Amino acid sequence: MDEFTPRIVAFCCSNCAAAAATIADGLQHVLPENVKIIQVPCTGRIEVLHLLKPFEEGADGVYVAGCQEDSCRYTSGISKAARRVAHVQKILEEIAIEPERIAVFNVSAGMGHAFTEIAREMTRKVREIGPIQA
Amino acid sequence: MGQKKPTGFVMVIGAGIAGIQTALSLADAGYGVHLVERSAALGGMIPDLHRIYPLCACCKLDPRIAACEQNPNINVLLDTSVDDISGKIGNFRIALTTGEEKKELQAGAVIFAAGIETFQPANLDYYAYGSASNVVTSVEFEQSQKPLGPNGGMLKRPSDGKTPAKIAWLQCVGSRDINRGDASYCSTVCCMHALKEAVNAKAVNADIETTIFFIDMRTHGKGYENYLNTALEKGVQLVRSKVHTINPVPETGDVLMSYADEQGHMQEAVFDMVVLSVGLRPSAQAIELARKIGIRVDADNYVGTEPFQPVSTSTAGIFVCGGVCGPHDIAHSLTQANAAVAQVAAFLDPQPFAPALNYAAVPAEAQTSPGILLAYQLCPGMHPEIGRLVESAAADLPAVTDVCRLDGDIRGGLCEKLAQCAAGRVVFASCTALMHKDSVEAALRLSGRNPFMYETVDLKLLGGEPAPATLTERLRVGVMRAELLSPPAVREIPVVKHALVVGGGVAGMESARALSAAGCPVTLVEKEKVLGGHGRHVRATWQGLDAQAYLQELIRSVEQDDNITVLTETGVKHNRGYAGNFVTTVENNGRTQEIRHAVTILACGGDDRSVDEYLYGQNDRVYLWSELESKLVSDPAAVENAGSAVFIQCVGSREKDCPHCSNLCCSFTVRTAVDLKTKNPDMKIFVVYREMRTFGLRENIYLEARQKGVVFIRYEVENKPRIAPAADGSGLVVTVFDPILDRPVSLDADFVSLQTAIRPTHNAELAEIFHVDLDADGFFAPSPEKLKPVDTTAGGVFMAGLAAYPKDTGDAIAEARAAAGRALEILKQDTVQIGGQVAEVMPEKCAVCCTCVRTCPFYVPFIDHDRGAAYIDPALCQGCGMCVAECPGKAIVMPSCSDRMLTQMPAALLEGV
Repeated sequence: MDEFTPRIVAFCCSNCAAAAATIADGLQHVLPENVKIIQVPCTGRIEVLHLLKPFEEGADGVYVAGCQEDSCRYTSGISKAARRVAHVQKILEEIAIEPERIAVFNVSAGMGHAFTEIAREMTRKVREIGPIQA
Repeated sequence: MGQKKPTGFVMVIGAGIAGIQTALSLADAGYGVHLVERSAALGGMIPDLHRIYPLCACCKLDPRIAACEQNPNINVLLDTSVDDISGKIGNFRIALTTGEEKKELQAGAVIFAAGIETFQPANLDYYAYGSASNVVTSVEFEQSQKPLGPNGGMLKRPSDGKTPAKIAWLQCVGSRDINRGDASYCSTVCCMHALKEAVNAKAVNADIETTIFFIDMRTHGKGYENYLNTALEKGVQLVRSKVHTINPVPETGDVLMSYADEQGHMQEAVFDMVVLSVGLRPSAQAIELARKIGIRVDADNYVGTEPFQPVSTSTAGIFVCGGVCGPHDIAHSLTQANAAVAQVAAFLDPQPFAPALNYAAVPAEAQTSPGILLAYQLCPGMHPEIGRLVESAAADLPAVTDVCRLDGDIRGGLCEKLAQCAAGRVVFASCTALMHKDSVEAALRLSGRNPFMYETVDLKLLGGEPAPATLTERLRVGVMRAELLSPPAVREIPVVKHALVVGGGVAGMESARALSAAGCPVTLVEKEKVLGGHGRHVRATWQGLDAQAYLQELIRSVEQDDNITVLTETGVKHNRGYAGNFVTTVENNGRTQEIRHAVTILACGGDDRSVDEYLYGQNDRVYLWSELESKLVSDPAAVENAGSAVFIQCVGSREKDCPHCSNLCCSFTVRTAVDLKTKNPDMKIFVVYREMRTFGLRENIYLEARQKGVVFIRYEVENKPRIAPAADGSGLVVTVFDPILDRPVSLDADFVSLQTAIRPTHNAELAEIFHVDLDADGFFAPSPEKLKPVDTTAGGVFMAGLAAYPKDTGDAIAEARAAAGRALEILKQDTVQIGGQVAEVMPEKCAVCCTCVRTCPFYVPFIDHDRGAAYIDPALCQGCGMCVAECPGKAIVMPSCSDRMLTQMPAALLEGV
């Protein structure tokens, strides 16, 4: 049987997107094809509904990648996103879906390599959990 | 801006990459430019190249050429030679000949960018060039690698068309050769050129054996050492040697190379073909013209420049950039081109040929048209099948109403197509599509579309093999994103005519001075109590000129400049905004203030790292090189009277934890050694090194040092020199394994200077504040748009000096002025057009609950009692969208990142995964 490849949606702030653009230059750090990026100006823009929607559409995992807590250009965007992710984890638990399927990550400006690492780490984690049992 | 200056046009002589860039930048800053080119086409040397480190060359030049041809402020004169230049600064008369026709033009300033020629090796019979057909020059070899070249990108050797299995490169052909090669200097570019050709040969077929025969491997530029290490990993072989002769092997077409290895033993090896890495020469015609009009030409036959005026000739008002003033690589040529723009702006106000391009007003129907134009551009290296795949994928995407293929001129081609169709949005697909975003946005503006209604699709990784599924998927996602775009309001924001320079060292002060001279007020922020940075302990430039006298004059002129506000003991806390309108908060002893500015130049410096090897910190005879230089400035006699000295190169540098080359240490050592030997000829000086990287004209002082008796001994990083106090306590003993003698030697030293790596000091912190990226070595990363060496990854933010990469004073000055030149392209505009990534309150849904007022990190929303609703000033909104997410009544919208987009994207993205 083929290995399970989780379908993952990542919400990334413009800071992360810039990091992704620089890695697109280097062939060795390519974003895995199973991770789909939705770019937002700041992770503070993301609402609970936006985080749940991908699960409804068949995603196996969702994550938010934003700035470091102390270096968000918009001061508090990533901490707001972290609160929403925590809330979505509770919702997932209530409907018997593993809360680990959603996570939040902090990426510094210029850490293109870390950005692809996160994508791979999330893929590994969700692969371990397996597909969502409907 | 500023006081009254003469106005005038500018003449640029030579339309290679340096001349083209100068013309484009000047035209952007408002000047009418005459661009004169002797040949029948723009582009110079670059069309002959397959790749320009680290990218392919194919699409880097064509958009620039097209932009020159279409710009109403650039008058392109092909097949034209300059006969004479008369007059003086502000009012030159230039006599030209186009074909048979003679004419005279006027210009306030002249820029010499006449470029290079390559050395012709036919006279050096021992290289068999011309007699053995499988001995080719590096330029000929590169042409054969071009996908559009005579062999269609297939490597073939000239004699029989056989694919070569073993290729050798021979370095320093016509460089570093005072016998028959006729040039003592190093041509700077050939080491990277050979590495690039070898790596690309391996990319075609990894089994091809590639061997480079070299004297010193000079990869001293930003990112170059990393390229060398990658090449070695890919199996490119390096042989340190002196080549004696190259002879054809009868009947086989093979080539026999006879060379002396490092120990001096003669060796022989047979190759299928040999590539001669030919050196650079300045354009002979240009030098002839320079002599005729009385411009100083240096001993190496280049247009002479001084390190403190790196792009000025001996004639006021005539500037120089690119290969005609020294063997420079492309990045340095572009830096000089931008510096020349700043020099012109310092004394001449722009006189345009035509008013600035008028952007058509956006008609409502084009704004709202949901139709999508899919425009694609293919590289010559791409599989021809990709074009067909794009077309058929487009046919399956109903949102795509029009498709076109672009060749070369992206902006012109898009304008033409948009004039014929009704599409309101564009999806642009090409290799490294991001690089062309300026062209795409300009085309949308010129065609009366909203300039932000486009998406890019990168075809880069699809290179050789067409992968239909990946290609279709990428196009589908790109088109879907374009479909979900909501047209943002386009706003014209006035440009704040003010610049911020961070860092008060040589680079920062030079940037500030150049901006001020062009009439722009500057705030210069320095962390320390005094200006000067590392410049304070630089004794001399590599040319031997007094750096302290220059620095004192520079500090004085900056401090006395009414246009420059110097804030010492001041740090940067926060920055927001965009090119044209930034707000930066700075702090001095607990007091903060806000500075509004259009551009930022980051010149925050670097430091030589401390080490815990070679007895550093334990023995007071061991110095870091910055300490030795300080001593040479403050108490030179103490150093000059020493009986012996050892300089150790690459200390804690070019090693695993710090892989980059610090560029100027070899030249520093050689300059210092030459000067010490001149003062005290009896001093014994040893230089212990891994590669001598006295690139370019710096090679001349390396030669001088050896002639003066300085001894150079090479070591391997696996077998580092050892250092111990002398048995009699009088000094130090350095023991190093000499590869030529093939045994260890012991060197007495009254002092030892450690040339340690230069690393950026404040980059990590400032990168966060100014939202720019760092490269793998911690220096500011260059713009992903490429060929913009002083642009960071953020618009309106530029870099100069050690924070960008280690470099000497002269190069730092050129870079600082280049950053100022780029900044002026923004500062000379009256307004910037920005996409409205802003939040908007719908008054009918607003319950006046004040959630947005409390949420906004920038305190922008307030309750407008006349409207009875919250109001968000679009000029102040920073566009984070937090209030949109928080608003309990969903009364705030953000067209550039709507709920519709965020809820529909997941389904569309996951389709087919």
